Amino acid sequence: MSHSAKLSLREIFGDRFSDETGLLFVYSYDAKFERTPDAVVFPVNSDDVSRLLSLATEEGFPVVPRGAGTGQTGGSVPVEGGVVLSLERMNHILELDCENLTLTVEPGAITGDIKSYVARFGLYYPPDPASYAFSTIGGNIAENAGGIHAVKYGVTADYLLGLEVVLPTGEVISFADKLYKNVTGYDLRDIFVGSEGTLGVITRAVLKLIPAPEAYATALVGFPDLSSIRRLASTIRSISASACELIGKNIVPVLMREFQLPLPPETRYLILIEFDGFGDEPRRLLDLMLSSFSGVSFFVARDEAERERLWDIRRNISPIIRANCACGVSEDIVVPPASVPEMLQFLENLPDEFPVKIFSFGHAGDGNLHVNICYDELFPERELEQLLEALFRKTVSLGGALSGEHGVGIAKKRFLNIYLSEESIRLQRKLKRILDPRGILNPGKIFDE
Amino acid sequence: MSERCVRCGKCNPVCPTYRVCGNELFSPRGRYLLGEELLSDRISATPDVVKPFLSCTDCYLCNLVCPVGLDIVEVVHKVREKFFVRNESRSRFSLSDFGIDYKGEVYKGKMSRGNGSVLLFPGCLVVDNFGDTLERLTELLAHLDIPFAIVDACCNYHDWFRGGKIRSPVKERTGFYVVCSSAYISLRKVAGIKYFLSFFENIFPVRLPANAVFLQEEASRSLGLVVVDRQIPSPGDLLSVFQQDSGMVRLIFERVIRDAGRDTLVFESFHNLAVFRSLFPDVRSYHIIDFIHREVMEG
Repeated sequence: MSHSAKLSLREIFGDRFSDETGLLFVYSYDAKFERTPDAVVFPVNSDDVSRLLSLATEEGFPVVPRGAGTGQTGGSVPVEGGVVLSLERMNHILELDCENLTLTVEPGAITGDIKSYVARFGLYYPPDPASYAFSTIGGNIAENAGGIHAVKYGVTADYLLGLEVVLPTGEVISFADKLYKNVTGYDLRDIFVGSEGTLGVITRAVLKLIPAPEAYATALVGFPDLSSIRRLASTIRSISASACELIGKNIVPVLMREFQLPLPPETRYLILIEFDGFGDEPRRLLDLMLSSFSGVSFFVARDEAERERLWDIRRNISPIIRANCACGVSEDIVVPPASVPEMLQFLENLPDEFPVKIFSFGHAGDGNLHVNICYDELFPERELEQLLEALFRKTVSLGGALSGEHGVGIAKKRFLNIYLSEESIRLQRKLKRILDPRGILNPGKIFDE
Repeated sequence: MSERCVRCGKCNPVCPTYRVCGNELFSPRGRYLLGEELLSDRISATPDVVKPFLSCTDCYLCNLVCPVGLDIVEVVHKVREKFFVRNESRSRFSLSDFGIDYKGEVYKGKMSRGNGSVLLFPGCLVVDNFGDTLERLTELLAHLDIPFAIVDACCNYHDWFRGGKIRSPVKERTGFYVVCSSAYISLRKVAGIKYFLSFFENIFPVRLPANAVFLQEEASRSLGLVVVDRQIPSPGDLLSVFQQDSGMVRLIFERVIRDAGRDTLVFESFHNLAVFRSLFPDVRSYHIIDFIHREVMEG
């Protein structure tokens, strides 16, 4: 990055520009990858963002938008250097519109803050990626984050009405704020959702809210084999469970021991199921679902404390995996919900071919599985690549895709052509070039240009 | 980079300094990762790299939420220990390298050690964020002919918690009023400051909550100011609430703005003001010292 570009940035941003060593270090990473930037800026409005991007297009230096830096795939890491555009100071909740049930926010607002803010008014913003307490809404939109309740409520895109975006060339574009329907021209808004910060910088979003559910019914169901899980998928979707979290074979024995679960010892898989709604409807639906299964054992939470305890079991999965996994990678493949058992079977057979241990869990209701592949330090990288390729090929053969929530970033771009056709990649590159002719916005992500 | 920290970022939003500054450098994850680099000499210790370790409030919330059980605060303490030893002869850096005591230098000429003086105890976060206001406070005191001194150090409360010895300024400076322009951030810090101030208790009145309240109350009354902090329930706890639930704090402030019906808000706590500015940057907000200064100095 040129000295003159840095001087111009200093002029625009004043003390909100920095290229000091300490600051560059702490803006070099997300949860998985790292690369030191040349400078960091802290815009406070879309005008700041616009001036930065205009300058970047003029001078040709990379700009990488970053929310809370909690991503798993390197989406906010400046892999080609340049400027990290931190949106942490654009973190305001701008307007709650109780008549239209919308909330207008800046991109740096923490999703958990948004959820607790609207909850005070009896309202609900459903998307809840595992990181919702510490990730930002801008990042959630850029990755189209899902979460535990996506099985009933859908993903971030389903709760997005309006969007203000600054294009890489500096133009600020607003998409209709509070319209629940709109077929006026192409729906360009959605190309920015899940675009991993490569097409534009989100500077304002209008979110859709719904009334908060008031009652819950939660159960932990134990399954002895995969065939009994197969029947679950269609039932879950037909009676709208709000969560359907699967816990795979390798994790179950540890949980059974640690939590002394009142389930038979032959339990191999656990599914945490929850229904939400109003009055006694959730409990009625849970009973209906449980009655449709024979031969499964289950434990129903009798009060809030027991419900919390069941969710505690789910929350303990990651620490258990970390404790059992010296080296590893984590993938978040997605398959059609009915194919989850077949995918699990494939994953269970993988250790026959490779010296690895697989811990799978995830959102069985929407087919999004978190696959943790653990190996020792001596496991050759070449074999890991073969394993990942086999995993992705199997996923795609079942009608699935490489990532349900985390995005491609730099982590999966070498496997992109397993899922996307050449034509599709070509079209996506063309779109990128139209919006970002000099390739300055978050270069090196999703695909090489 | 660190092999132990999984860099999930869960600790950041519970950190009061991260909430106020919106900057990873002032976050637990940032401090932990940067601290490990510093302690293993992979990054060299320059003032800009080491400064963030002063602003940690030792509230320990980051340790509580860390999913892999890291002792983040311990790394902060180790960095402080290595680079900020209070004993001048052992110090690699003096606090003045970080602008912490620069006002002590600037206003040395105006300070006196007579009876009834004011001992200013700014606090590191305040010096960092409200340098101009502190400067006006010292100008004001000089103008009013109130002799004062500045404690050119941090309160050392973190050392005290680890069994260390706190430097007692009593022997050097007796007969001062104590005005603490720092404020509560956490129970631990309150305890630390109280312990620090307890050296003075038998010598002259100690005012807590500090915030130069004795000066401000009278002045604000004569100026007809409505001071926001006094409209908020438990102003001293506001930052603690903010750590857990910024939505709640936003609601409180929204009510205050509505009730005040004015376009400018005045605070007497630096920390409340910092929180407010981070939530409402477009609403005009001042520290009461700035108002008093304007009234007194400009008539």
